[in-house]
Amino acid sequence: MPYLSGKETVKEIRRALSNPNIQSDPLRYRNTVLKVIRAMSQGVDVSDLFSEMVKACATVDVVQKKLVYVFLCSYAHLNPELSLLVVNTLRKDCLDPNPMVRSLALRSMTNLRLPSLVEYVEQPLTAGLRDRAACVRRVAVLGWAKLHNLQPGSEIDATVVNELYSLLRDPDPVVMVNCLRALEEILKEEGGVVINKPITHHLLNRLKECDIWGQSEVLRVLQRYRPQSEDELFDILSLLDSSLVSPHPPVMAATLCLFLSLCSSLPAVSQAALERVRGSLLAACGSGSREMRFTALCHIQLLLRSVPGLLGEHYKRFFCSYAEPAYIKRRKMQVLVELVNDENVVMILDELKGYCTDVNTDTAQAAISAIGRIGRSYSDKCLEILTGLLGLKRDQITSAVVQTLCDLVWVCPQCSDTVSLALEGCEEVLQDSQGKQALLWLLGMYGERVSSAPYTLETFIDGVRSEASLEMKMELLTSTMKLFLCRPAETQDMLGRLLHYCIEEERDMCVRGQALLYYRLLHCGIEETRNVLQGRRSDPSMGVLIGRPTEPINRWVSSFNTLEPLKHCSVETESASRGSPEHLASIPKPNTDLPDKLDCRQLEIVHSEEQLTIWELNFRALNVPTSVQIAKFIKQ
Amino acid sequence: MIHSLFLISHAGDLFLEKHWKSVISRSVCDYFFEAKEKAGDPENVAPVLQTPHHYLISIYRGKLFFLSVTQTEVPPLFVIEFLHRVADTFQDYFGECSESVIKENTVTVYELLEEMLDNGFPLATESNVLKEMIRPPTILRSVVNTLTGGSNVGGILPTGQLSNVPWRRVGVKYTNNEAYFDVIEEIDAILDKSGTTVFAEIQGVIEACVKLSGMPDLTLSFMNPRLLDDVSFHPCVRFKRWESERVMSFIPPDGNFRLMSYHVSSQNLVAIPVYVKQNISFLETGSCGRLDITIGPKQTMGKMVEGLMVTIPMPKSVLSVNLIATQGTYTFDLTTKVVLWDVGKLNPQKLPNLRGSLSMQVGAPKPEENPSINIDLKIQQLAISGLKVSRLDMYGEKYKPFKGVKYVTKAGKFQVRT
Repeated sequence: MPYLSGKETVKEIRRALSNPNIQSDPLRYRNTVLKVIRAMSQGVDVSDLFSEMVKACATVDVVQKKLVYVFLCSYAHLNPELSLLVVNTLRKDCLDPNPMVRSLALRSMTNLRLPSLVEYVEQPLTAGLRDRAACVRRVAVLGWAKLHNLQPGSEIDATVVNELYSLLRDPDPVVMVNCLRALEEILKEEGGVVINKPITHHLLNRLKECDIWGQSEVLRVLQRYRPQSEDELFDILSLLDSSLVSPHPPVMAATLCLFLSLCSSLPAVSQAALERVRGSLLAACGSGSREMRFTALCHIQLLLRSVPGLLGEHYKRFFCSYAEPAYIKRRKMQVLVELVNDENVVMILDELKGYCTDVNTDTAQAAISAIGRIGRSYSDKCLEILTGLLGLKRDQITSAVVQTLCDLVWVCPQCSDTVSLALEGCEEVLQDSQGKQALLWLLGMYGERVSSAPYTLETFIDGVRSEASLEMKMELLTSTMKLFLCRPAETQDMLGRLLHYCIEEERDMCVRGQALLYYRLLHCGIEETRNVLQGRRSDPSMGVLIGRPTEPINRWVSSFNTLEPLKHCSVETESASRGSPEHLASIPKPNTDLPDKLDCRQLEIVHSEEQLTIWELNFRALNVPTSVQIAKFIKQ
Repeated sequence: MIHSLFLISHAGDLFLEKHWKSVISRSVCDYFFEAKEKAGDPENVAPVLQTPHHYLISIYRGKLFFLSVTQTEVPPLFVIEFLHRVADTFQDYFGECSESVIKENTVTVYELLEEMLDNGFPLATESNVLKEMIRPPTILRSVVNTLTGGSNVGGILPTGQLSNVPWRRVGVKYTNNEAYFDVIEEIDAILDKSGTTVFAEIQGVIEACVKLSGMPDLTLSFMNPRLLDDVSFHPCVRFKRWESERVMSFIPPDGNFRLMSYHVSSQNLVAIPVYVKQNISFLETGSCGRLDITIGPKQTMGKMVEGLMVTIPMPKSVLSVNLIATQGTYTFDLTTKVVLWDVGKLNPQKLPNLRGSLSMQVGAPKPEENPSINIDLKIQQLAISGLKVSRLDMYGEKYKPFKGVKYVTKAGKFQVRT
């Protein structure tokens, strides 16, 4: 229990550290220092021992020195005055004949990060830049970057910058790369290190000498270079060719990124580069490390946005194995959806079908929505699987399937017959409000073909008092209205009850407003109501929308090899299942004949993200633009 | 680039932290703990998390999370690869990479981390170089150190750092000069119910143990190098030579290292060494089920299959199992619900079989998903892809080394769906 006995431990150690008997025995002294570090790593606040530790710094024992430096670097900012005492020892160490000691001292000195020490550190750092040993130069170069970060507002010392530029030609590759890193940090405000022709060529020629970290760094910096002629461009490309197939994913990704940004005006070359890295990317997807697999998958998703056919024949590489974490499975399914073509669709669907009953509900839902996405192009096969899943009578699966069907019929109205047949009996299984909502929408839409629709709605209406979700109530209202239009005899009574409840008793403004709107609409006569509620459906003549159009590479190249593609994991699946791009794309089309006023409304719909879901819901329910509703409302 | 590193045990104990730039408070990890809580299983924590001011990039290895904190945009592959390199180094130094070992060697860990990064940038990551700066702990050395007050810090500057061949130190001397190569292949495969291959791939590595004096220049050639896809070499291998002649030419590092790793992914080349006849069924009523598994050899190229081990994670509703194995022993873990059947050697004349009944929780619904069967096996003296080393030559030194090549095939992620 280190957290409880923290104070005691500190007291005890302090007593030991100041005990002259222990101080005179180097071994026991070092072990006591070791105890301090142990306590520190367990989260005990040992900052009170600062003065004792400063004394422990004056020793010939390298290990003890290292330990004390670890301590000092963590707590120096709490005790700037006492830290001054350390500097003297450190400066002495900077003159030690052993380069290891020199570099250690220099590194620790800069790691103290105290603005008050800057004046003492500058001189050893300058000397360090000209040290014989490469390992001291490596540290010194980065030391200047640390120093600069300490005093962000201060002026940049031109002599230092010049010196760093000249050290780019240092024989040691790590010094060279560290120079790049330091210059990038120091000159951040001026846009980083200047990448001109001689520097570029120098860096490219020495690329092979660097370790993989250095290579990725150099490649990243070179992205800023613009070759002056086409010949030069191709020279650079052929130099880079071998790193493009590097076995190390970081280097491969950095090279590809550089390739793509260099060839932004030569689509054919970019295409060839993508083909060339295909093998390495696939290898990264099968890598032993799951984090590496995940990252590679995310980047493959990016590539597929421009070159959908790139990996079509390798779809089996993206089949999930049993023990893989859910986040990888989800990404793999997203990739599989993109890879579907006529030859592999059967295999892929078969595979996805297996995932639908996964123990992990997220994975199962993702698999079901993936099948739904494929259904947009291969509706028959997918509908068969989805309706089969309904037969399992599991609440979460059914909910996901109904939501998916909801999206599917919106895009492919020709599926509606099968869907309306499959809906019977679902209401008993469904538990969550999203699933119920989707079911309600489907019932409103295809109520005349589902014989039990009125009874289903009736149970919902009976339970409306205890319903908490706003969206559910809105959906219920709309669905009942629509069902009333096609089956008035069975629905009239319950619609009356529902409207009465919503107008008189409901506390939520939105629901009340919506109910009033319908109520007044009914007063205008059945024809008018029908016009509003059963207007045009999404037009079947628009045909099936297959995926997104391919994007040009430079749309995403700036986010390649960054954290961008890895983010928003959850949001992405959300948009994939609900407000997919096709929905938005299909909004403006049927409305071209409507008044001008509408356009701005639509723009608002698209832009105000938060409102989108609610607007869209209403919109889907009515199949007419919201502005018509509002106009009617105003007229009243 | 990498601002800080936190080591977190799989239970959620933060037990070590290291900062390469200014100190970041431990509270930044709360976002990670929150995500971990939500994910349930530690394996399911997403590797990249975004917090208002930082990115948290983590890897999960050996029941440990290596959580790095960065403040700016970084190439994710770079950071992930680096974190794995850190874990590899610990593994290399301490024999395993676990919480207890790291706690035991806190000091060495701090020293290593200090050398591996400076200001957040990788500095020395090559294990040979590190080992000269900080010697790995051995029992003998720690005894000697406590008696004499010596240290595990190298007194001299690593020579390798300045030589033209950074992975090899100069002046190596052995009385017995020997070079051993282990070709290890792992089959990753998914077989479906009927036994057809859904997916199969071989992941191979060549581990080398080279103890040769001086600066030997080795050339290793294969009988059938065209088999290999996606090769990845130790930096010592001359890639140009491989591309043009398909021979591996290199000056080896001293000691143990991984010479190359490769994939063989074209399906028809991947032989599946065993077949599994299985029947696992759960009855709709009566809360019981049946299990019957037989394993037989398929494409073993005349070699004996050894160390056969079958793992079946049962659905949670299975209470107990009552099985009879014709060969080997089986265990059923009540908490994890895993049936582990240790078969041993596979005798082609008398096929091992495991059968019996499963009793289920009364009233629990029939499991939606049948369990999948994971198989572990080993075949000595065979590389299942058919890869063969044809010869090893040495140039640059005069003595005659002792050479040896060993092959072994193992099952990697080998699973059969039911």
